[in-house]
Amino acid sequence: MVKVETTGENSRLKKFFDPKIHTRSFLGSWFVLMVFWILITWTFNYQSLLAGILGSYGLTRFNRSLIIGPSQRFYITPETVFMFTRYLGLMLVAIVKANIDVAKIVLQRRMPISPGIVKFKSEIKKDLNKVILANSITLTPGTLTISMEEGVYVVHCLTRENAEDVCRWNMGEELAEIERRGS
Amino acid sequence: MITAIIIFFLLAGIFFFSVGVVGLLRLPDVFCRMHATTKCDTLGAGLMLFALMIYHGFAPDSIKLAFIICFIWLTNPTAAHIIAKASYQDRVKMTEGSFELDYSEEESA
Repeated sequence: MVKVETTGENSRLKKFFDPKIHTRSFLGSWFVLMVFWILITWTFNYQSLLAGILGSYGLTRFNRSLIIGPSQRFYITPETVFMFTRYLGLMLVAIVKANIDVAKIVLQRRMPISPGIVKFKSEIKKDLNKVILANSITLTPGTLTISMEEGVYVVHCLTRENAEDVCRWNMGEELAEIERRGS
Repeated sequence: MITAIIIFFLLAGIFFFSVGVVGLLRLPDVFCRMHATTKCDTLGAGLMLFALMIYHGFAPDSIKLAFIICFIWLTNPTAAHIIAKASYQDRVKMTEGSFELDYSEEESA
Protein backbone atom coordinates (compact mmCIF):
# COMPACT_ATOMS: atom_id res chain seq x y z
CA MET A 1 0.00 0.00 0.00
CA VAL A 2 1.21 3.48 -0.80
CA LYS A 3 1.48 5.75 2.18
CA VAL A 4 0.18 9.23 1.44
CA GLU A 5 2.46 11.86 2.82
CA THR A 6 0.52 14.49 4.72
CA THR A 7 3.38 16.62 6.01
CA GLY A 8 6.65 17.79 4.53
CA GLU A 9 7.61 19.95 1.60
CA ASN A 10 5.88 18.28 -1.31
CA SER A 11 2.85 16.74 0.32
CA ARG A 12 -0.38 16.81 -1.62
CA LEU A 13 -2.24 18.65 1.12
CA LYS A 14 0.35 21.38 1.27
CA LYS A 15 0.24 21.81 -2.48
CA PHE A 16 -3.53 22.06 -2.39
CA PHE A 17 -3.58 24.75 0.28
CA ASP A 18 -0.53 26.57 -1.00
CA PRO A 19 -0.94 30.23 -0.04
CA LYS A 20 1.70 31.38 -2.49
CA ILE A 21 -0.67 31.32 -5.48
CA HIS A 22 -0.27 34.45 -7.56
CA THR A 23 -3.18 36.66 -6.49
CA ARG A 24 -3.57 38.44 -9.82
CA SER A 25 -3.70 35.13 -11.67
CA PHE A 26 -6.42 34.01 -9.28
CA LEU A 27 -8.45 37.17 -9.85
CA GLY A 28 -7.84 36.93 -13.60
CA SER A 29 -9.12 33.36 -13.79
CA TRP A 30 -12.15 34.35 -11.76
CA PHE A 31 -12.81 37.26 -14.11
CA VAL A 32 -12.43 35.11 -17.24
CA LEU A 33 -14.89 32.52 -15.90
CA MET A 34 -17.30 35.33 -15.00
CA VAL A 35 -17.15 36.76 -18.53
CA PHE A 36 -17.73 33.27 -19.93
CA TRP A 37 -20.79 32.89 -17.68
CA ILE A 38 -22.25 36.23 -18.78
CA LEU A 39 -21.67 35.41 -22.45
CA ILE A 40 -23.38 32.03 -22.32
CA THR A 41 -26.31 33.11 -20.16
CA TRP A 42 -26.66 36.47 -21.94
CA THR A 43 -28.61 38.21 -19.18
CA PHE A 44 -27.76 40.89 -16.66
CA ASN A 45 -30.38 39.73 -14.21
CA TYR A 46 -28.97 40.18 -10.68
CA GLN A 47 -29.84 36.63 -9.67
CA SER A 48 -27.96 35.09 -12.55
CA LEU A 49 -25.02 37.46 -11.99
CA LEU A 50 -24.86 36.46 -8.32
CA ALA A 51 -24.95 32.78 -9.19
CA GLY A 52 -22.17 33.40 -11.72
CA ILE A 53 -19.96 35.23 -9.23
CA LEU A 54 -20.36 32.52 -6.60
CA GLY A 55 -19.97 29.69 -9.09
CA SER A 56 -16.86 31.06 -10.73
CA TYR A 57 -15.31 31.85 -7.34
CA GLY A 58 -15.91 28.26 -6.26
CA LEU A 59 -14.42 26.91 -9.46
CA THR A 60 -11.24 28.98 -9.20
CA ARG A 61 -10.92 28.28 -5.50
CA PHE A 62 -11.18 24.50 -5.82
CA ASN A 63 -8.95 24.34 -8.89
CA ARG A 64 -6.30 26.65 -7.47
CA SER A 65 -3.53 24.21 -8.13
CA LEU A 66 -4.33 24.31 -11.86
CA ILE A 67 -4.18 28.10 -12.22
CA ILE A 68 -1.55 29.08 -14.76
CA GLY A 69 0.80 31.53 -13.12
CA PRO A 70 3.41 33.77 -14.75
CA SER A 71 6.12 31.19 -14.20
CA GLN A 72 4.45 29.12 -16.92
CA ARG A 73 3.21 31.74 -19.34
CA PHE A 74 4.15 35.15 -20.71
CA TYR A 75 3.11 38.25 -18.80
CA ILE A 76 -0.06 39.90 -20.07
CA THR A 77 0.80 43.39 -21.23
CA PRO A 78 -0.76 45.38 -24.11
CA GLU A 79 2.25 44.49 -26.26
CA THR A 80 2.06 40.75 -25.72
CA VAL A 81 -1.72 40.76 -26.15
CA PHE A 82 -1.31 42.55 -29.48
CA MET A 83 1.42 40.17 -30.62
CA PHE A 84 -0.61 37.15 -29.57
CA THR A 85 -3.65 38.39 -31.48
CA ARG A 86 -1.40 38.79 -34.52
CA TYR A 87 -0.11 35.26 -33.90
CA LEU A 88 -3.68 33.91 -33.93
CA GLY A 89 -4.40 35.70 -37.21
CA LEU A 90 -1.25 34.31 -38.85
CA MET A 91 -2.20 30.89 -37.49
CA LEU A 92 -5.61 31.07 -39.18
CA VAL A 93 -4.02 31.92 -42.54
CA ALA A 94 -1.50 29.09 -42.12
CA ILE A 95 -4.27 26.60 -41.30
CA VAL A 96 -6.33 27.48 -44.38
CA LYS A 97 -3.32 27.43 -46.71
CA ALA A 98 -1.98 24.13 -45.45
CA ASN A 99 -5.44 22.52 -45.41
CA ILE A 100 -5.75 23.18 -49.13
CA ASP A 101 -2.29 21.66 -49.66
CA VAL A 102 -3.27 18.45 -47.86
CA ALA A 103 -6.55 18.28 -49.79
CA LYS A 104 -4.54 18.50 -53.01
CA ILE A 105 -2.24 15.66 -51.90
CA VAL A 106 -5.08 13.38 -50.85
CA LEU A 107 -7.18 13.92 -53.96
CA GLN A 108 -4.38 13.23 -56.45
CA ARG A 109 -4.44 9.90 -58.21
CA ARG A 110 -1.07 8.69 -56.89
CA MET A 111 -0.54 10.42 -53.60
CA PRO A 112 2.84 12.19 -53.60
CA ILE A 113 3.59 11.56 -49.92
CA SER A 114 6.93 10.83 -48.29
CA PRO A 115 6.03 10.47 -44.62
CA GLY A 116 8.52 10.51 -41.79
CA ILE A 117 9.51 11.74 -38.40
CA VAL A 118 11.58 14.77 -37.57
CA LYS A 119 13.02 15.76 -34.20
CA PHE A 120 14.00 19.30 -33.41
CA LYS A 121 14.69 21.52 -30.46
CA SER A 122 12.90 24.72 -29.63
CA GLU A 123 14.20 27.55 -27.50
CA ILE A 124 10.82 28.20 -25.87
CA LYS A 125 11.04 27.71 -22.13
CA LYS A 126 7.69 28.22 -20.44
CA ASP A 127 5.18 25.37 -20.30
CA LEU A 128 2.10 27.05 -21.72
CA ASN A 129 4.02 28.47 -24.68
CA LYS A 130 5.38 25.02 -25.48
CA VAL A 131 1.85 23.64 -25.46
CA ILE A 132 0.67 26.46 -27.74
CA LEU A 133 3.44 25.70 -30.23
CA ALA A 134 2.73 21.95 -30.13
CA ASN A 135 -0.97 22.51 -30.71
CA SER A 136 -0.22 24.95 -33.53
CA ILE A 137 1.97 22.34 -35.21
CA THR A 138 -0.79 19.76 -34.97
CA LEU A 139 -3.46 22.15 -36.21
CA THR A 140 -1.44 22.97 -39.30
CA PRO A 141 -2.14 20.13 -41.71
CA GLY A 142 0.80 18.05 -42.83
CA THR A 143 2.45 18.06 -39.43
CA LEU A 144 1.50 16.22 -36.24
CA THR A 145 3.21 16.54 -32.88
CA ILE A 146 3.87 13.07 -31.50
CA SER A 147 5.70 13.96 -28.33
CA MET A 148 7.34 16.92 -26.69
CA GLU A 149 9.75 16.45 -23.85
CA GLU A 150 12.16 19.03 -22.46
CA GLY A 151 11.95 21.19 -25.52
CA VAL A 152 12.56 18.41 -28.05
CA TYR A 153 9.62 18.07 -30.39
CA VAL A 154 8.97 14.82 -32.25
CA VAL A 155 6.86 15.68 -35.28
CA HIS A 156 5.40 13.40 -37.92
CA CYS A 157 5.25 14.97 -41.37
CA LEU A 158 3.32 14.00 -44.45
CA THR A 159 5.95 15.15 -46.93
CA ARG A 160 9.64 15.85 -46.72
CA GLU A 161 9.16 19.55 -47.48
CA ASN A 162 6.85 19.80 -44.47
CA ALA A 163 9.63 18.36 -42.33
CA GLU A 164 12.17 20.87 -43.59
CA ASP A 165 9.71 23.72 -43.02
CA VAL A 166 8.58 22.84 -39.55
CA CYS A 167 12.10 22.97 -38.08
CA ARG A 168 12.50 26.63 -38.89
CA TRP A 169 8.87 27.61 -38.75
CA ASN A 170 8.30 31.34 -38.35
CA MET A 171 5.45 30.74 -35.87
CA GLY A 172 7.91 29.22 -33.41
CA GLU A 173 10.08 32.29 -33.69
CA GLU A 174 7.03 34.52 -33.18
CA LEU A 175 6.21 32.66 -29.98
CA ALA A 176 9.79 32.91 -28.76
CA GLU A 177 9.65 36.64 -29.43
CA ILE A 178 6.42 36.98 -27.43
CA GLU A 179 8.05 35.09 -24.60
CA ARG A 180 11.12 37.33 -24.67
CA ARG A 181 8.99 40.47 -24.58
CA GLY A 182 6.71 39.19 -21.86
CA SER A 183 9.02 37.90 -19.18
CA MET B 1 -26.79 37.46 -50.71
CA ILE B 2 -26.29 36.23 -47.15
CA THR B 3 -27.82 32.91 -48.15
CA ALA B 4 -25.22 32.55 -50.88
CA ILE B 5 -22.38 33.15 -48.40
CA ILE B 6 -23.88 30.63 -45.97
CA ILE B 7 -24.22 28.02 -48.71
CA PHE B 8 -20.63 28.65 -49.81
CA PHE B 9 -19.23 28.11 -46.31
CA LEU B 10 -21.38 25.01 -45.73
CA LEU B 11 -20.21 23.50 -49.04
CA ALA B 12 -16.59 24.28 -48.20
CA GLY B 13 -17.04 22.57 -44.83
CA ILE B 14 -18.57 19.51 -46.48
CA PHE B 15 -15.69 19.46 -48.98
CA PHE B 16 -13.04 19.42 -46.26
CA PHE B 17 -14.91 16.75 -44.31
CA SER B 18 -15.09 14.53 -47.37
CA VAL B 19 -11.38 15.10 -48.02
CA GLY B 20 -10.80 13.93 -44.45
CA VAL B 21 -12.75 10.74 -45.05
CA VAL B 22 -11.02 10.06 -48.37
CA GLY B 23 -7.66 10.60 -46.67
CA LEU B 24 -8.60 8.26 -43.83
CA LEU B 25 -9.34 5.52 -46.35
CA ARG B 26 -6.41 6.08 -48.69
CA LEU B 27 -3.39 6.95 -46.58
CA PRO B 28 -1.10 4.05 -45.60
CA ASP B 29 -0.42 4.04 -41.83
CA VAL B 30 -1.68 5.26 -38.45
CA PHE B 31 0.19 8.55 -38.38
CA CYS B 32 -0.73 9.54 -41.92
CA ARG B 33 -4.35 8.71 -41.21
CA MET B 34 -4.25 10.88 -38.10
CA HIS B 35 -3.32 13.78 -40.39
CA ALA B 36 -6.46 13.34 -42.44
CA THR B 37 -8.85 12.83 -39.55
CA THR B 38 -7.63 15.72 -37.43
CA LYS B 39 -7.50 18.16 -40.28
CA CYS B 40 -11.04 17.70 -41.49
CA ASP B 41 -12.23 18.65 -38.03
CA THR B 42 -10.30 21.88 -37.80
CA LEU B 43 -11.44 23.46 -41.04
CA GLY B 44 -14.53 21.41 -41.90
CA ALA B 45 -16.29 21.83 -38.56
CA GLY B 46 -14.93 25.37 -38.25
CA LEU B 47 -16.39 26.50 -41.57
CA MET B 48 -19.76 24.83 -40.97
CA LEU B 49 -20.14 26.37 -37.52
CA PHE B 50 -19.05 29.71 -38.99
CA ALA B 51 -21.85 29.42 -41.58
CA LEU B 52 -24.31 28.84 -38.74
CA MET B 53 -22.91 31.91 -36.98
CA ILE B 54 -23.60 34.03 -40.06
CA TYR B 55 -27.09 32.57 -40.24
CA HIS B 56 -27.86 33.65 -36.68
CA GLY B 57 -26.30 37.08 -36.99
CA PHE B 58 -25.17 38.84 -33.83
CA ALA B 59 -27.10 36.85 -31.23
CA PRO B 60 -26.35 34.78 -28.12
CA ASP B 61 -26.47 31.66 -30.27
CA SER B 62 -23.56 32.92 -32.36
CA ILE B 63 -21.44 33.42 -29.25
CA LYS B 64 -22.14 29.87 -28.13
CA LEU B 65 -21.17 28.61 -31.59
CA ALA B 66 -17.93 30.62 -31.38
CA PHE B 67 -17.16 28.94 -28.06
CA ILE B 68 -17.81 25.56 -29.66
CA ILE B 69 -15.28 26.40 -32.40
CA CYS B 70 -12.72 27.46 -29.78
CA PHE B 71 -13.13 24.29 -27.77
CA ILE B 72 -12.98 22.05 -30.85
CA TRP B 73 -9.75 23.76 -31.92
CA LEU B 74 -8.29 23.31 -28.44
CA THR B 75 -9.28 19.71 -27.78
CA ASN B 76 -8.77 18.32 -31.28
CA PRO B 77 -4.94 18.61 -31.36
CA THR B 78 -4.74 17.32 -27.80
CA ALA B 79 -6.67 14.15 -28.63
CA ALA B 80 -4.64 13.66 -31.82
CA HIS B 81 -1.44 14.06 -29.82
CA ILE B 82 -2.47 11.36 -27.32
CA ILE B 83 -3.39 8.85 -30.05
CA ALA B 84 -0.16 9.55 -31.93
CA LYS B 85 1.95 9.27 -28.78
CA ALA B 86 0.34 5.95 -27.83
CA SER B 87 1.04 4.57 -31.31
CA TYR B 88 4.60 5.89 -31.23
CA GLN B 89 5.39 4.28 -27.87
CA ASP B 90 3.84 1.00 -28.98
CA ARG B 91 6.15 1.14 -32.01
CA VAL B 92 3.38 0.83 -34.52
CA LYS B 93 4.95 0.07 -37.87
CA MET B 94 5.28 3.00 -40.20
CA THR B 95 4.87 2.71 -43.93
CA GLU B 96 7.95 1.67 -45.89
CA GLY B 97 10.38 4.39 -46.89
CA SER B 98 9.61 6.68 -43.98
CA PHE B 99 12.48 8.98 -43.26
CA GLU B 100 13.77 9.99 -39.85
CA LEU B 101 15.53 13.30 -39.38
CA ASP B 102 17.09 14.40 -36.12
CA TYR B 103 17.93 18.04 -35.64
CA SER B 104 17.62 17.97 -31.86
CA GLU B 105 21.40 17.91 -31.31
CA GLU B 106 21.99 21.09 -33.27
CA GLU B 107 21.52 24.53 -31.82
CA SER B 108 18.28 25.59 -33.41
CA ALA B 109 17.22 29.09 -34.29
